[in-house]
Amino acid sequence: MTRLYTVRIAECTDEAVDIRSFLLESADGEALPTYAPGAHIDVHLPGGPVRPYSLCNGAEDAGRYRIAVLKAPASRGGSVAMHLLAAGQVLTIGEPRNHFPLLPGARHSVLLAGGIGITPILAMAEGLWAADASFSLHYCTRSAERTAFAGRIRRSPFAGQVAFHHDDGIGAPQLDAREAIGPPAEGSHLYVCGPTGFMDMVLATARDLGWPEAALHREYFAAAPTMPAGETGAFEVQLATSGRVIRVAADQSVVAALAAADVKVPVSCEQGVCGACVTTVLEGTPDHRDLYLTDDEHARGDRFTPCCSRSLSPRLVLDL
Amino acid sequence: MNIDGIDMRPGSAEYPLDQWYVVAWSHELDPGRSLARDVCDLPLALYRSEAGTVHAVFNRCPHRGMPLTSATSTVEGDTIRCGYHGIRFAADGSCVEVPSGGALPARMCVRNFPVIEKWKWIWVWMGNPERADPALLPDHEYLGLENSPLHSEPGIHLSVKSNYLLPLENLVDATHITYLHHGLIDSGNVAAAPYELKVDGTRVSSVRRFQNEVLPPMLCAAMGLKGNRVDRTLTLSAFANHLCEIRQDFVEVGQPDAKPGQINLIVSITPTRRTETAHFALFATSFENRHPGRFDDLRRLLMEDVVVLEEIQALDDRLGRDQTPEVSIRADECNIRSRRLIAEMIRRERAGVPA
Repeated sequence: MTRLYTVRIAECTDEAVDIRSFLLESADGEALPTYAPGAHIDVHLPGGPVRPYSLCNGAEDAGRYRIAVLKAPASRGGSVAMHLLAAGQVLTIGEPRNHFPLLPGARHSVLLAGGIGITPILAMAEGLWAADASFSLHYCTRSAERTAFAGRIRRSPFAGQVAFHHDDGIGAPQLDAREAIGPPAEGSHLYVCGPTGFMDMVLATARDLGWPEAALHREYFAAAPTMPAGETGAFEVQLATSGRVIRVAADQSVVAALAAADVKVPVSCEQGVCGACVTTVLEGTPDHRDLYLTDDEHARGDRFTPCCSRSLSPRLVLDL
Repeated sequence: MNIDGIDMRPGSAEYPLDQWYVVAWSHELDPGRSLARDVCDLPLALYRSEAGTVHAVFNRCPHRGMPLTSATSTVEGDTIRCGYHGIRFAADGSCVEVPSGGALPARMCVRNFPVIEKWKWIWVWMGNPERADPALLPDHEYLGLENSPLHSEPGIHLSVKSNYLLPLENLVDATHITYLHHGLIDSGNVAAAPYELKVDGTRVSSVRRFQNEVLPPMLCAAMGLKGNRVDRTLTLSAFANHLCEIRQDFVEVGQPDAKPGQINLIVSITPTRRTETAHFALFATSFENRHPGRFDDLRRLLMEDVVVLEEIQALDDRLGRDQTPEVSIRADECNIRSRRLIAEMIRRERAGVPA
């Protein structure tokens, strides 16, 4: 069983536009367990939702946990709830888990972060620096004011190994992924975290450069909060057979929206593992969040899992 | 669950025929002897010529239905003679002699099956013989069986009364270890440990890393430890549907002269019937494994699984499909990936696409 901890928000810090970090301390004063770079905790939000957030402790945060949250109205609702919290409030969290660990003994590590994806990547960079291991970090954001932890990185001893990239090109050049990733080398590993589209682009570029699959590592859960579909996170699905249009609210799954409209889709695991609900997409671009379909199938975009996946386009037309 | 119309539900899953399956240890079949084994719901007669070549044919004489492995049958050169009326078949299944004379009917023949003997295993191919490519065998070098510094020896042969997907998924599912094998091979860390999923062709693996872990006595004995603490990497792999590998790379903690070690538990998965599976299980180790109880321990461990898998199968059979839903959780990602790969093999086999 995962051990749960009761924590108090010690401080909230605005790190960038729409990004706030939270320092969590144990409510009983005990030090929280240590963790390895790439680890995350599950935060149990008031009202029930549980959301994973990567740990990115700074130098003075020992025994406590720092997480950073992008306010993304398009997400499953966790980030908006997080931004409503204030110092002193009490939360329940799970113990750290690591689905995105650094491989020991790599000769060189290439780290790429997109937006809020910096959180596990920054922990990795600090871990690699502390272990005297070779690495480079490329940090991509939309603009300078959306670049969380920029000061902490610039003041770090590894600042010379970090390249900033801004989509608007102001203050830092846009990312040239081929140049940033470079050719594969024996013992080199690549780690990427950020929006789904960013991770897909980075991994496709690395594969195109000849990187072996075993050297490519991505964080899975972090994709969701940073990928807004339109402006609101809500979208529509249209049933191809009847032409009916059903609205999917920002905090609602497609399966739930369909069920509310009396459209039954077989569903079992509700987390994109089992494939019971896989549905054909006739139009629109799904925002895949499942583990069932392969990378190729995700790229094709003609099927998706309505139990957990969402939409990058305002409307999906489903073969229902 | 069905995948592309193929039943891939543990308890009743279909199996590929275009596949190599382990049917026996080499030492089970002496020159001039035969052996009856079932594979994929078919009865096979395995026999070894005096010169040492292993052959496999359908184990039923088409004359009056006698198994070719009966007590009175004989192996003569590369042929096998039925023990009922003495009708003799060549290794390709053609009839070469009817002692009582008369015309030799064209249909007096038995199906033969491609065989490979590699390392100390006998493998058979149950599908289209034109697609029986030896390159589809798991890499024996990687497993530590051939051209390898690892030590290996034949282990145990075990039968489970369950569909092959139950033991296949059981063997590569680390998250049950903490509960089903509590105290035997887990000290409580494995279920909740994070993993990395790797897919390489038809091999699906999960990798978990542990540091300074205290191991229970059975594992310490199997790994030849002086103490009981290690840093280890646990890699569980399913090779398509016919082999599982449980690999541990470890370094003993607190022993100044400790060298990195490796122990592979390799378990073949052979569907004998739709609801029966044979295992041939062994260790390949970086050290000479002299622990006298090693195979007793292995049998004890595997039997903890067998008992449960047979219970699951019996309950499934009794209740039928409507009353036996299957709900997956996050950690089932690896096994669902394997199911999809196996279903794809079956789909391609039926479409006539080479493996």
